Amino acid sequence: MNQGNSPTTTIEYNDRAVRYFMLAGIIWGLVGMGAGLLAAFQMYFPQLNLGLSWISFGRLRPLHTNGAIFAFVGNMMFAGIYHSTQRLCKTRLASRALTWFHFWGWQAIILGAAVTLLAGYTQGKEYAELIWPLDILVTLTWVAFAINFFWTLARRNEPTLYVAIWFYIATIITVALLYVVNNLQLPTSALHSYSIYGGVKDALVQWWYGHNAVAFFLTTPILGIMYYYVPKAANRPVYSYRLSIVHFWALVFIYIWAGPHHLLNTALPHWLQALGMIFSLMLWAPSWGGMLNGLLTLRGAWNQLRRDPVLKFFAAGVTFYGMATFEGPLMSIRAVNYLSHYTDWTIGHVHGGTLGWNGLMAAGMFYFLAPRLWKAKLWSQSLANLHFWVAFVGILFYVGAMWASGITQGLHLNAVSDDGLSLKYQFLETVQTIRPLLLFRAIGGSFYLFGWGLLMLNIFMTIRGAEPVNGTVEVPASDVEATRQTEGTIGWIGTVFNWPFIYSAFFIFGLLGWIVGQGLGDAGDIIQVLGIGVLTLTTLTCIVHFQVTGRKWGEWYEKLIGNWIPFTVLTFLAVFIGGAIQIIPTLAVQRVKNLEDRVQVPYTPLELAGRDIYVSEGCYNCHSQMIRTIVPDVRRYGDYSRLGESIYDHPFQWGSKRTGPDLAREGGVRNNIWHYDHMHNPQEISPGSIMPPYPWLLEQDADYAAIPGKLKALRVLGVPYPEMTPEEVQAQIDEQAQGIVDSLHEEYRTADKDKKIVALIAYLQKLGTYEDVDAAQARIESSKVLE
Amino acid sequence: MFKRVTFEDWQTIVTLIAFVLTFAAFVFFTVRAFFMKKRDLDQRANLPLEDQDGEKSDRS
Repeated sequence: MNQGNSPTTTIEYNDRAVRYFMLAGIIWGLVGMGAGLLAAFQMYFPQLNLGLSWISFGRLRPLHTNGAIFAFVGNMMFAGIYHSTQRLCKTRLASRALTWFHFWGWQAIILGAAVTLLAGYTQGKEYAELIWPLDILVTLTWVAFAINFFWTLARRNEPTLYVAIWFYIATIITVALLYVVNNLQLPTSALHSYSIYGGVKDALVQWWYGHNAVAFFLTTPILGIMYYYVPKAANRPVYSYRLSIVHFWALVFIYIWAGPHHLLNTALPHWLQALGMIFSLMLWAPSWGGMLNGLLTLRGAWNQLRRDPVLKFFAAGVTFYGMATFEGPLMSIRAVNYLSHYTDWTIGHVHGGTLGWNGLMAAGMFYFLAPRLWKAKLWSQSLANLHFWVAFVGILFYVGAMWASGITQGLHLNAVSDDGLSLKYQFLETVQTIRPLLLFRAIGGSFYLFGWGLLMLNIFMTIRGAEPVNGTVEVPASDVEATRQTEGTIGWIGTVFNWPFIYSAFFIFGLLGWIVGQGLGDAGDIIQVLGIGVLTLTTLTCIVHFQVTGRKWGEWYEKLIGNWIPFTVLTFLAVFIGGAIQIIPTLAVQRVKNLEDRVQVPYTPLELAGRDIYVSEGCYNCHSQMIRTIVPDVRRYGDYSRLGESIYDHPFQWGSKRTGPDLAREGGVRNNIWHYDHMHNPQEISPGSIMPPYPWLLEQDADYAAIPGKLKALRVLGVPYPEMTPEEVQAQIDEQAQGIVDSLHEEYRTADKDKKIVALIAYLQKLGTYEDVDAAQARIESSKVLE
Repeated sequence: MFKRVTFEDWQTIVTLIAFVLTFAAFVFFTVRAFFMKKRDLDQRANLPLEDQDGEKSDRS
């Protein structure tokens, strides 16, 4: 929009914050990936757990996942968003204070997460493990980020919002929505809380969050970064701006629905499974459209790939985006998921996305930014090229090993005899079969981490002694004026109360009446007729209206895409509707009074203490508690899990991976001695097992004093516990614990009833205990809790 | 015995609602995208390239 003779203003960008976020991303990348590498080696060498609670796999893995997602990609994404948004808006970040609150708040969260996760303080929900005080800090920091970002948009000096900004807007509002809804919890102490959702409700909300954390934290911001930095690096505009628009809207409208694909073949209601699968398949088209748009932007610049490491990283990163987004919908087909779920295939898929898409895009962006932010030449192009090839080979090792391992696991664990009555492989046989592949995975990870070390060296040498510089821009007054005019043409009310929007709403209502009315009997016929009538009338009125007034339908849209407030509101509505339609019916309906068949028996106080230990140690990272509705699962673990059998689990523990076997019906399968010895030294009891030892469970005391408060909290959440005094609770604990201690003493094991192992054994022996719905209903009535 | 069947039956309607809503929105935005003027498209597509920060000269 540069106008020739218009007076100009010089604006200096706040690139200091960009530099800080970039360096933080590089350092946290090392930590996050380092934790992952140690965890990977622990799977091959369980001895690497060293008998230390704070680096045991169950605690280390959440540190790795949270570190990679929120610390590494988070800081990288903030650097990219702040850098590109200032330039696309031709304005400086709106608030220095908010920028630095954002930066230091985010680093404090990461440090807090590292300490608490390793200490065993967790919510027990994947990628949402952070305890409630940190969740509040995340919320505050995100709000600061959002205000700063939108304030910057409001002060912009460029009338048009480039598509990258759209992706950033979607990221900010959707992550806020996801994080708040999924982390609603009831604190029981300064470090512990229970999710307000239980069982299937928690599962649905968690995977709505988990899936969309991938979609809106690991994908949409990086797509924004792709749409900005790939054209910059190739020095040519995006291949098709039209396609980028379709890509954005299709992703925003489709992604949010696909979460239930993480729960296929489980006790989740089938309509939700179908919804998750269908919308996942629909994602194929926009994802590949976006991937091709990114790659085709390099048309005519392919020769530059040979010498320019930035373009190499971007081209490979975008290609991995295509691969991961092909694989994801494929794995969301129920028949494929039958094979892939709970196996290493999922791990391979996730790492194809994070190492390939996020990691390579991050490296490309860092190599692009460092010379510009410090006004220096990249120290070594050759080293950057070496980094690329080392990382690339590392990913191939990693992902290839996990594909082979996952498919082997799936085929082995699902293999039954022809008559379907017996299993072909024991669980441990499969573990032994895939062990070499676990080593390959760790070697691949080592390559990737080594590559990251090369990046750190290269960037360090580039910026050492160099002068940090802030970019500047000359903004013509005409651009400022044009921007203010664009901003003032639609407003909040005009977003919704305009003819295109109103006609669209009537059109959709009419269409829905026509479709939904089918099969509803006489009332349905009336609804159908009304629907067709509204549809016809709306269409005719719309045509006449626009013909007579000479207005154009597109005017509203043109105004919309230049105005960030209505644009944000409509994007929020798109994702909100997608979440609400899935979640609200489930929250409303899935209650004991509506269940059939079986309902979980609430845990005793001792079992609850044991469950909290199970969650704290991160056992869900390797053990599921969900027997799927498939023959091999039923043959291996027992009758399939009913929806009511985990209805009181806050949080649910269905899991997403079976490094070890499912535990949904573990209760009573083995005796107390077995569990005691197994926790002390798994390999002695199960030769070939890769489970780490948990010697500290035999030494540390359980926190029984907290149980009365926890029971009270669970009563508030609807778990039918009778009202009990702390003395009554302690008496129950003592009695049950003494029984377990006595059984251990009979086989010459020494254990005090206060030890964690006793509570954990009580919990494990309870798993799979249920009662019929009438008994459950009677329990609710006698406990007088509000379900 | 048929409680679940009853609930799931009416809940399946939401999948239809979901499809209609998203498909209608998708068609709308797609149509708009394809009818955008070439001049506007080019101007928007070139926005990242407007600002160079003296960067090209630094690239080796």
